Amino acid sequence: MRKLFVRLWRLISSRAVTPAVIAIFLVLYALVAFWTDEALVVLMQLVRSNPVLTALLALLPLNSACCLIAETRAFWFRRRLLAGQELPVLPGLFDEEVPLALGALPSPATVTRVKGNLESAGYRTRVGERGTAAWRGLNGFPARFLYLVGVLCLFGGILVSLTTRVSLRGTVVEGESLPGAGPGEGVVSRISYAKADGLVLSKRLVIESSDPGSGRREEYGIYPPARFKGAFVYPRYLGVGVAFRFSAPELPAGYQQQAPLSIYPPGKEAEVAVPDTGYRLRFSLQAPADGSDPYSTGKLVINFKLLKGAAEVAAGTLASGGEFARDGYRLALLDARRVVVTDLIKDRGVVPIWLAGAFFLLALCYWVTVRLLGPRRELYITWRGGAGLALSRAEGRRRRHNELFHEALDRIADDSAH
Amino acid sequence: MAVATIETSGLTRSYGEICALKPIDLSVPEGEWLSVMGHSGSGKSTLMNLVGGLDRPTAGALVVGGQDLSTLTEDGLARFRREYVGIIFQQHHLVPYLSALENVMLSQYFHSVPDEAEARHALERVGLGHRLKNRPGELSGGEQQRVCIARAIINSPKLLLGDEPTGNLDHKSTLMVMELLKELRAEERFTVVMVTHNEEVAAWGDRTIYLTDGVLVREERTRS
Amino acid sequence: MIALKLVPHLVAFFGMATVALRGATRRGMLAGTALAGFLVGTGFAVVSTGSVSGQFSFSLVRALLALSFLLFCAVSFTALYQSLGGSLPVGWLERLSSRPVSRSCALFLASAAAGAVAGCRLGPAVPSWVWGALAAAAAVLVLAAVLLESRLPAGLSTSRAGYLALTVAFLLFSASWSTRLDLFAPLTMKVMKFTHDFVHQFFESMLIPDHLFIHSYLWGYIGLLFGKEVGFWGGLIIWFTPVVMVFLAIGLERLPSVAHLRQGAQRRRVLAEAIRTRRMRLVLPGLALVLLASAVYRSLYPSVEYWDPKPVPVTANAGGEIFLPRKGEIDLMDGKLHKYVFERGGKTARFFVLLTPSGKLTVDLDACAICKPDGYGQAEGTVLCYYCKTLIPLETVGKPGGCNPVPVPFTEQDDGIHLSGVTLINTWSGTVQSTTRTTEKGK
Repeated sequence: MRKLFVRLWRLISSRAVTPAVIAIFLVLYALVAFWTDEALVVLMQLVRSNPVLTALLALLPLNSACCLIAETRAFWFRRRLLAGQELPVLPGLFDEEVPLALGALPSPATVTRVKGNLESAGYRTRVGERGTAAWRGLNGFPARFLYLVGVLCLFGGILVSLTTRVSLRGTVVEGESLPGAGPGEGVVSRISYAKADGLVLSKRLVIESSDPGSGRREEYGIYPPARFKGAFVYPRYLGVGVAFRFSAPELPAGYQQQAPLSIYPPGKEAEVAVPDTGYRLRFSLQAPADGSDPYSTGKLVINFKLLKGAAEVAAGTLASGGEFARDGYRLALLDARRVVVTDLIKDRGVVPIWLAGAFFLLALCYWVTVRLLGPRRELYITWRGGAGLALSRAEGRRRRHNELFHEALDRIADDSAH
Repeated sequence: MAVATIETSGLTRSYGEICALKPIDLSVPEGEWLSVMGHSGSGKSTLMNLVGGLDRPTAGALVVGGQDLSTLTEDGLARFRREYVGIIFQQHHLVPYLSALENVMLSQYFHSVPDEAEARHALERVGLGHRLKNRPGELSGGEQQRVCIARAIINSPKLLLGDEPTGNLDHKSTLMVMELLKELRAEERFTVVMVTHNEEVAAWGDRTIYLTDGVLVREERTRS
Repeated sequence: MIALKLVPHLVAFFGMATVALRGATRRGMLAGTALAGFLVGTGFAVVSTGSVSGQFSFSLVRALLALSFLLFCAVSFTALYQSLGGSLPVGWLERLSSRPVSRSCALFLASAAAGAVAGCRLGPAVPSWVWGALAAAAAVLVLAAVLLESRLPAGLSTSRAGYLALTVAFLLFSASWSTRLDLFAPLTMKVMKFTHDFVHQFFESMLIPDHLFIHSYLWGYIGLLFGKEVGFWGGLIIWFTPVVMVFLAIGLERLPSVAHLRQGAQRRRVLAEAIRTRRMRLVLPGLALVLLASAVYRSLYPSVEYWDPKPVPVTANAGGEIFLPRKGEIDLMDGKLHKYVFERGGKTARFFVLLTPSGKLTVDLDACAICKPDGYGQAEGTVLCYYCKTLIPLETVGKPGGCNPVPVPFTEQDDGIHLSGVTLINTWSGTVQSTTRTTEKGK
């Protein structure tokens, strides 16, 4: 049982798992791309719906977590070994392991000479009862640690996002509750929209809401997205919510409707069909003569065209509260308000994915710094019970380190020969 | 009986009409120190060049370290020189723009790959551990010759050739160099062939041969 | 002419055979295998293009080439992983692949693929003398490969990944001489699509604001990700990644441990020998790199001349109908692409009429629903989208989707074809212009 566990652990913490799984997904993508143009979307759907593929994707964060544990353990183990603790030398801890020839155990004078040489080459040394350790440079392990945490966050985030993301599209209208809110909850008091001089964003959109009961006020901007009841508020498009009443000679009872129209920016048209009549109302937003943005100022003047089939029956312009009447046709614009078409997204994967980016950046900065300033090089010569073993590893500048390692071994061999 | 490092039979070298080395039969056992004496133009350097693979014989057999040099291609000869022979010249031939350490590393480079720690160790062995960064112009004649020795032995040659290595040195430096060579030979067990005018230098060898006009005229064993 | 056409394919076959013989023991058997594979592959391709739909043969060979490229990717990544110190439980696979019989099988398959490419290029109707000449040429080349291989320097060693790199590179180089088998152009198309989808999905998933809220200069940079240049550069990266991985795998291979040797010169000699061997092993991937680069060049600048007639202006009658006679100045039934341009109310639409191999006429816009409307050219049983260089087999022209030309409804009568001018303009405006805007501005 233990053997099985050890094997399983070795498999799951292998560095090969992540590239192998990514390769499988790439091959899957290539295969899907043979059949459809929407390969990425189809692959995402497949992963979402197929438990085997979901499990395969889950292997990625699992593997990075296991690697994190295994490599951290190995790192601490090596540190303790170099600090002189009596521990077995596990395979794979060092790049090179050379048993010293029988009778070639270094004398104190040899150790002093080797130590002197290494110190003159910039190494720090420690001579203990069981061995001599020398090291130089900064450990690259923190970069690896950060990288693995990044991988864990990235694939964990993707997995969570793919499998649990819930999205609700709704319209945010001034004076009404936010989509998905309970009665009297999260009432939008104001939508403000203005130019902004940010590095990335050119516009500033703020949705202000208040809770009449508790009096609590909240603001939802563009980025970073704020949350409402645990869901990210993700503004997508701007529009105008209109409430109108229409009547025609053959429709004396009239027809009344409220509709969010995607007619921003000015010039963009949207149509509303009057059911069972053949009439269509085509709306657009009038561009103010002074060049101002009607959405920013809130002065929403609506152009309309009344169509029956392909023929245009009437056309005009209306402000909120205005009414048009001609030839038996009447159109009253009861209200016009700013609307934001918004997605409310519950996705616990977003934050980890962004965090992953931060971890990768940190890992890169640390790794570059270490490589430039001085990568870690370690050398350990240990003797226990008459048997000697020389161990060496280098994270960079390996050639020079090996020269010193070989020289130390040569000196030990020379001294013991004489 | 020791295996012969150098074995020649009817070894001849002519330059057109001039015969620089007349047929010579010579055997140098492994680990021997052979001194070669003679006047200018007697064929000493010709013999050394042939033995070191720097030149090809006109006739005769020449086997060094078990390899018949007359049958080797140019690449094979270069490989032989690189891996088998170390040479010390009278004129040093050190690169003036490189430090003592770099001069030794240059020899490593042509042999295989440089190894700074090993080059430093070789210079320490010839007593120049404190002069690693000095260029040849900043070293005395004796010190330069010691750099040459470090350079010659760095690739662990089986055969060390010396062409008047002490010709430019004063008596004290000569003694120091010869003492060093003796010590190194004891440690590394290489064979030495040393061309010299100097009877005193020749006397450091195990055996001395005398050449006159390209002919081996005499040989005598040195009293130990 | 046929001989000239086959030169690059025979050169590729010769190169593959030479490489396969390096370090082999039963060279005679291998040479025979290579010859047999090549002839079988050629025969299969020639017969299948004649009997089954031409589209099927080309698709099959292209799929095989793509598979060989994928295999190359897998092997190169594995080699790099192992060079960096990783261990994989693939010992059995290595033992299996080092057996002479495995080598023979691999060579047979590779030669068959090379033969199939040559066969596709030859086409269905091959006179018997061509068969004889081809077999003789292949046999001579195999003998030449044996001779050349024996004269190559002994130090020119190969690694498994290097061998595969060169073999696949020869195949892709060979395929690049046929526009219907070329893999680079479809790869760039797929990369372009993937980048577009990925950026879109990334923005959606990370809740990044739409272009409405972002500075236009920044959106301009993001827009670069949707251009065809991304497809080209991304395609280049994918195309060369495996061979670069092989370079890295060889270059980063850990030198042997020499710490047990106590003589410096000996240690250095071992290291120098290892470095020299490593450098020699870079020769084959280096050659593969050159071949892959030339395949890209062939893909970008094919020697094929495209039939691309100047669009003929047409007008509609009073009822708004465009009529194109079956036979007239232009013969619609000649199997060639015939382009027309129609203008109405300041709007212009370009379209073409083509007789498909199934014998039916089709009317399509001279534009697809994905790319900029740069139009199509016709060559070697395909039409080519000039924007993304995708080849559309003639059999599928008239069907909507992907980079296919957008079909236009029409009626076919005895005298010719009739189509509505309004429908034509609407289709152009509705499909082409809106998608162009989307493609260029992203999201």
